[in-house]
Amino acid sequence: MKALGEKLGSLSLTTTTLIILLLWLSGGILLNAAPTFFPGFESMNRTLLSEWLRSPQERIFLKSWFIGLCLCMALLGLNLIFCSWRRFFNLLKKNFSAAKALMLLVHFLFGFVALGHFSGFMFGYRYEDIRLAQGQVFQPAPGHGIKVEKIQMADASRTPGSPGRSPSVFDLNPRQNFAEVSLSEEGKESRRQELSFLTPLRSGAQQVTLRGFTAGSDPKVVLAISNNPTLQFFLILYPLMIAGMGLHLAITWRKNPQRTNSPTP
Amino acid sequence: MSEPVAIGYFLLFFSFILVLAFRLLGWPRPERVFAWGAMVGNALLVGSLWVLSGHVPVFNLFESFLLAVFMLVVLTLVFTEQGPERLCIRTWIWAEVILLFGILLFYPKTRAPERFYDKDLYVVLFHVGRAAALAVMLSASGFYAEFLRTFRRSASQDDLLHMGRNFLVLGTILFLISEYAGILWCLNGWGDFWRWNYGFLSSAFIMLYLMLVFHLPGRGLVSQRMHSIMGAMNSLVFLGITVSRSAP
Repeated sequence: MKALGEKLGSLSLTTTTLIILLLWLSGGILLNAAPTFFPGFESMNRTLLSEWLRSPQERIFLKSWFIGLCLCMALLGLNLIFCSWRRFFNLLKKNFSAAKALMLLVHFLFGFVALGHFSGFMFGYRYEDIRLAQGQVFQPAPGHGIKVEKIQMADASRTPGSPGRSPSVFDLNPRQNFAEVSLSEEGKESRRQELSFLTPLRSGAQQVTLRGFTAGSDPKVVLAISNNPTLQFFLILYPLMIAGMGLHLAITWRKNPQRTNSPTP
Repeated sequence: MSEPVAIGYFLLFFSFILVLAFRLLGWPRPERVFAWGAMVGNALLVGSLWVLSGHVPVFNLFESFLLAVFMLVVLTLVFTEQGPERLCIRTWIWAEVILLFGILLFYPKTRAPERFYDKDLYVVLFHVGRAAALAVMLSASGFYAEFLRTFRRSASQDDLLHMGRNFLVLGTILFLISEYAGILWCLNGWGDFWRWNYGFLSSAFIMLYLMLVFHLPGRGLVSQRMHSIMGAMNSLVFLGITVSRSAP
């Protein structure tokens, strides 16, 4: 049992898992470039992966690739737990140093960041490409409503160069092209805000994002509506991890002449 | 192609070729003069692009490589010693600068067009962070390359390895800052912090590669050599992915 624990916490396992992950990811990059699989990746972007995995229309090959990726990450997580466990007790018992403690903390934070990232794929909800005209309402969850109160588009955006083509949100001035959106809970308005490109509406874990406009006589806004309950947790831990690495680098910038040189940070 | 900008680029390219040539000939004084001159010229070109375009010059490969070269040259002049050797850290770094300028031969020598989002803090931070990470990782590669050349020949080789590691960790931190800004940019613009596309998968690839470099097992000479080879390769991996994301 102890030998298994040592193997699971070994640096050799870390290296092997990382090499497999790199190969797996390279496979994903190639699949993403292939016209056969590209639509599958697009549908992964449109829905939560917990729903995407259950969808019978999706290709089994792409699902297997994703599950393989998750399994590799789970192995890396297991390796992190066993390795950190051993190092934590070594640190307490024998050679405590601020640099080592900080590096251990960075590894813990990395584990939680990865977990937060994965949770974002699985929990909450996500609706993309929701097209609503002025006055229309969308219900992302029972009792919750998102209403487009007003659509403001500059005249030039209503009549783009090629007829029938919707203007790209990248080319529109966000001060002149925006939508006013209100959120309601059980019929009561809880929040109202103007949305433009790169200025979403956030209320708790819920986010309404303006993705574009459709041109024509009855203009519509294209919205992405998402709810990620672990987002705040992820967004706080990520910079803490970077700060921990920065502090560790500052402590270890000068070489300690008494220690043998280790290439790892 | 904007003519004065293109002329500036070719002048800088020629100056850096001379800098490397002087280093290889073992003429440190003209090398120093030309390196400082090229750095000032580079700063002027980057500054003019900034003023002309109205945004931080990082929105196409031409702009971001010029900024990365400027940072790389400053790091080199500050952190490396001006010795008489023909082959040293500076030789490798000047060669890297020429590689960057060589890649730009295939790209339009012009500023990126003005867009409404190019003043968004996260968008700017993402691009600046990437240019800075590239510059710092290229510095790390210079130290690692020199470590590999002087392997078992120099008493100060451990210092080279340590400095290579320092720059690689710094490059990783800058890369992560850039990624974090990218996450916030994506969140504000697309409603999620991750997309299953080439850009995000290739960023994850760079991250995993960096993790691999830092987690190579062992402490002996073989391990040190392996670490330095992987560390030196890192900037090339990053560079390759950056170029592949910017079609000419």
